[in-house]
Amino acid sequence: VSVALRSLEPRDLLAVGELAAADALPGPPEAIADRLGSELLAGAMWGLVAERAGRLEGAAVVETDGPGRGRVTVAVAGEARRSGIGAALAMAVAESARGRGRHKLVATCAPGDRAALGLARSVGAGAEALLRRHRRTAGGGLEDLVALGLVLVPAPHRGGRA
Amino acid sequence: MRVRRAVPEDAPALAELFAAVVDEGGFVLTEPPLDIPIWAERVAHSIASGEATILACEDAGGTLLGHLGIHPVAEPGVAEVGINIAAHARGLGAGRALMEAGAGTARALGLHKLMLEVFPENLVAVALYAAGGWEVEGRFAAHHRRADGALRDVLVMALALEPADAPPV
Repeated sequence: VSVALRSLEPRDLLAVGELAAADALPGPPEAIADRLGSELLAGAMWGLVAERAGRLEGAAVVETDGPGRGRVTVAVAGEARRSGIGAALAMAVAESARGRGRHKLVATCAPGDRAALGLARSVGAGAEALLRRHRRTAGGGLEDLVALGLVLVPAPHRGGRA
Repeated sequence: MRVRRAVPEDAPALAELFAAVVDEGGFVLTEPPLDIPIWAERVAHSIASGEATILACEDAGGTLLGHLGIHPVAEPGVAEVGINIAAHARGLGAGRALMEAGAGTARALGLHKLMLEVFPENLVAVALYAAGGWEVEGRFAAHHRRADGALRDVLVMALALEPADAPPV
């Protein structure tokens, strides 16, 4: 059975919350679903889901990070990892963002998250900053994050003075 | 010179000062002209609701010299800082006073980190922040789109509010 990508719809929110709560976004599934639902209603979020035989196996959520900029979170079900679903979602979401007139996508991941870094590299995203002692862990410590960026417009449109 | 917490009634003066900085161009992301009444209303709401903490720096006569905003971001314990100093007050220590007070206020709020974005060309601001212990964490390429379509890079700088050897809270 092949995987199909389609736009995220309100009926997907709880399943996306469950996927994301596993490791991608903080908070319980219901809280994530509520937050994303509010953003979806306000037009501040969109996304894609990957479905196989009616079961949601992955999602890419793009939340507004600033004018023309989206913050991406990709989550894939544990048993569906290493199957290419994450890469397919990342590539599709980048293409969709271009079509929506976005100029940049950003994301964060842990410095040691080789899967996320590899996924980012596969779509042309690069590390732009090391956010030191940024995220509070469940144990109370602070961990670094890597800030990733993917510029979606050609170089001639970049630059300019304030 | 003194730094104090701004109250909603300060919003019109905060907006006037910010509009003047915006009109100078080159320092802030916001482009002129600033809609002063709308911005003032938004700031008054942010202060009243606790969404943001604004500090005001004023001279002995009560004239506003500058202001600093602490705006929590989605990451718990982290906030973004925005600072604006009136042109006539630059070089007199208002920026440094606000940055020091901002760090103290952020600690009191329980934050563990402050962040800000600054144009790489704004060397005076970068130096001010570095003198206060802020460190460059990276450069966001083509991050902000101007009204004319040009994309601007920004440096991201951060101030750790919790010592590396501090016990977990």
